Amino acid sequence: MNKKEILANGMGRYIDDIKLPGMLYMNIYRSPYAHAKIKNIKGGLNSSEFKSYYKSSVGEMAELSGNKEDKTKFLEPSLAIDEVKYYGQPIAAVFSENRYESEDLLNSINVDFEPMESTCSIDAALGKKDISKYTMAKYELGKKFDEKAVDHDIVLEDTFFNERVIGNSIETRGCIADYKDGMLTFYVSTQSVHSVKGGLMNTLNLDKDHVRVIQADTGGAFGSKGGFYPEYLIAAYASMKYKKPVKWIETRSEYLSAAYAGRGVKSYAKIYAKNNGKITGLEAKIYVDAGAYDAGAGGFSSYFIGFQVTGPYRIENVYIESSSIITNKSPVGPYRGAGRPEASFIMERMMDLLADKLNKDPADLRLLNASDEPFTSPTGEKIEEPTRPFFKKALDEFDYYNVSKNNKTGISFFVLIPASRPGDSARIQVKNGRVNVFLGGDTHGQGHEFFARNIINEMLGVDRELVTLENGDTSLLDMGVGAWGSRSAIAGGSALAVVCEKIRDQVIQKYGVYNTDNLLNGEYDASEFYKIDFDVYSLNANMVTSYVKDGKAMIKDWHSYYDLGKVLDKSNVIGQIEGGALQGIGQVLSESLRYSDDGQLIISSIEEAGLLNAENIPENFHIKWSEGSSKVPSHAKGLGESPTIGTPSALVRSIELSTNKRIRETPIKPDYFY
Amino acid sequence: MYPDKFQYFTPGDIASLEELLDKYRDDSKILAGGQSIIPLLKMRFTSIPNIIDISNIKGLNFIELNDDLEIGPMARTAEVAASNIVAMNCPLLFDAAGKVADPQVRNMGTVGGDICEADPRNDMPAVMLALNADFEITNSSGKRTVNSTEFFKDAYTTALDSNDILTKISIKNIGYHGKYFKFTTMASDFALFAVAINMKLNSDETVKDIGIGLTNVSSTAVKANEVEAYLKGKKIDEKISEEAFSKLLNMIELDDDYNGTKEEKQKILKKIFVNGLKEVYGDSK
Repeated sequence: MNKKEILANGMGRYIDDIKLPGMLYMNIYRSPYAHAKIKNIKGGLNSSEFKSYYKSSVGEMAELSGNKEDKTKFLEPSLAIDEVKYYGQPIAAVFSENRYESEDLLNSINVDFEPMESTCSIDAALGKKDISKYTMAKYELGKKFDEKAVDHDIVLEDTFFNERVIGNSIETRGCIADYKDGMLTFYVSTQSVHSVKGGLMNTLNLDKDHVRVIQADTGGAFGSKGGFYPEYLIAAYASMKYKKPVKWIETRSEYLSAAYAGRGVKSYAKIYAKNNGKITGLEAKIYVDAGAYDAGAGGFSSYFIGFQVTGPYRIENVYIESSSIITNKSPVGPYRGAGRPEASFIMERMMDLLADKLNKDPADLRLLNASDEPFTSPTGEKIEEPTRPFFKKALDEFDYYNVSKNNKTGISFFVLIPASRPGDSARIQVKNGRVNVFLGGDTHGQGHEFFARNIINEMLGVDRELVTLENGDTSLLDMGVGAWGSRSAIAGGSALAVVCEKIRDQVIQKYGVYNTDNLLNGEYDASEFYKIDFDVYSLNANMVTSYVKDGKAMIKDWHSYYDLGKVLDKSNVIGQIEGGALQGIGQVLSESLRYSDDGQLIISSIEEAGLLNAENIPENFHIKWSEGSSKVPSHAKGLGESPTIGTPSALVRSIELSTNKRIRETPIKPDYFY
Repeated sequence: MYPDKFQYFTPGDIASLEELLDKYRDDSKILAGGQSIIPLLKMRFTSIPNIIDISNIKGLNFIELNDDLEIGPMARTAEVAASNIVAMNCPLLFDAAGKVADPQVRNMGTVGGDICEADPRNDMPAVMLALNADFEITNSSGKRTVNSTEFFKDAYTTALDSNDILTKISIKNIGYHGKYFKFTTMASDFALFAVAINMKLNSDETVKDIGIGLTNVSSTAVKANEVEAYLKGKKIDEKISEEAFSKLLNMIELDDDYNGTKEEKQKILKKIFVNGLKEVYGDSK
């Protein structure tokens, strides 16, 4: 049985399926306030006993930001110290051998709060006198320019907002810490056992030989399980203290209040253009609602958005000011796309605005602003392929000029920037006639097993059924990064390809010749960290048609034309594309994490979070791709985030053609269609 | 789900149910499907020491046409939404039952539970008000009948005492035309608001009788008495509908919240109300 069949048949082993002898259940007492002083705490494990700050190294694109500022002042304590800064922040923990009793014990905790004024949105923070107090990080990209020096006929401005959304994986966060004889064994639902191990070692001062992190079957993540969380530390500390295994598995409302959310971006854009449609200048101010603490992404995501805002378009003058704003909300983290959809939304919305203003076809206008040569944007984004020929081909594949005559049609063009750096690791172990594969990034529902089997089959000639992809385990592969940022086929796939060569060499060394029987009859083992210190960008396009019925947008046809490099597995590709498209649609139509003005989270279920219903699935998916060249050994390009980038911009355009009302925000408000 | 501890009872007849209710009074609650109570317990928004599941009591699940349309409190919402008797005699109830929540909830949820819980977002209270339904209420000292207009007091508060049981729903106004116009955001199956309309015309196409109920526009379901009175005897056109809507505005309370401002909500409600009147009037002709 392959992994997909195991999971689909209810035979997976998730965190909540694992029960260890004598195990305690941990429950977290969380802040009911967005901002308050803690005058006194009685009960539970709290910061009077366990004082620590955690650091999450999500890793994604961190190198790009070049932010040298000391970020330690924005770190979150694992249990609140004297003050709480967001609704849902952990304050104390309780433990019992019975899950229900552990829940009951939360009533035994007494906290004396003094509520304080809270700042719960970007607008509220921008209205403050001393904005620097509310700024986590600030960047300038491109070069300031003088309006008079820019050749232009018209100037257009607009404001955009993407509300916070969150991954909402079916399985919430969870872990089991088991400390025994000086060794911490830590089971976790994660995208990266290595980032969890790093976090535990750094904060609890454990050396690498005394921490083993094992990935349980992981029921989805979408970015929210890429990093490190305070609850992991609390569970580990408690296991060391009570000398018993400690399990934490959260409820959905805890997930919504305290797992890292994504998006939450406001922007002001201004473009300068010629009457023929050529854009000559772009100015933008970008603000990220970073939350109360820096959990690894809040500080640099504003930079990352600004960096790629011009996407595939060659614009001579660009000046971006971007800031990460501190608010009394949960820390922001990477959510599928993580800055990329936000950037594309700004640029593509401005393209459509300009097309309307000049009465030009939006596709023609995009082609005009694309490029026939490689170029580097004023923000430093190196586009190594000419963008215009690709998008011309995409429009042909979509049959755009015909479709758009009779349908409300939106398109979007974008460049995907995968988190290829710093590469990743893989290990192959051949034993008992079977091949076990380990990857540095942990599969969490995408089905990496399929591409891993194909690579082994293609390079070593082994039957796919004899290949197993194991869950992450730091004792079996002691180096690695993680699965996020559209990187697995690029970094993980390449590491695996390189290790295949090593295994092949081992067989040749032994027998003088390689064949599959020689491989499977022996025992072999090899691993490698394949380093990547360059970018693997790709060009991509989407087209969406829709109509409005009974006050709701219905999606008719969803088209993609993506450059995937070599397709490692077709079913992986289709699964990634359809799933990502649904998340892009959800962001536009319904998904959001809604807070009241005083920072109370006012949703408590996955339904209220606005996940799509089946009726909102597009009537037809038309999935196409090209297989352009790629510099890495797997020959793959990125994919995972592409549908979340291209869908929102194309869909909102399609909808506004039905209503003749411009869309500036996601999700669309209920009264929009009335 | 991790609720507080509770005792769980499944009485097999009304007499045992009455006994339990007399014993535990305010410390108990009837479970009649669980559409509302289960989520409240699960989130620990409430704690109920004694849960009395009435699904084993025979004779509470029926849909019958006698002089009135009579519905048992344990008729599952899905059964009502699939009943020919209901479809033929009470299209408003038929339409509304099919619009409650999702199929799983309709399979477990009951019309009686929906009424008695009186969550302002529940659909059945407004439907019952539009239908002028009567409720038979039973307790250990006997039976009484309460009209729906006297039943809904406030959010989660009804004319039921802690030992009362709803035993029958009677609908006299049958053979009308009617529909339930429910506006939901895409993020929820609960109504942001909804309008229930039940209508019968005279031979000259003037309104003979009309019932209008509204969901989630106040702390409990609203019966639009003044609007009903205004529309009786009139032929409905756009001008009349708009005038009716302005009268309706005096009877409801919309607030600003994350779903939109008061003005934005009024804009949507107006469209739903005016279009709804037009549609049901058209059907009635």
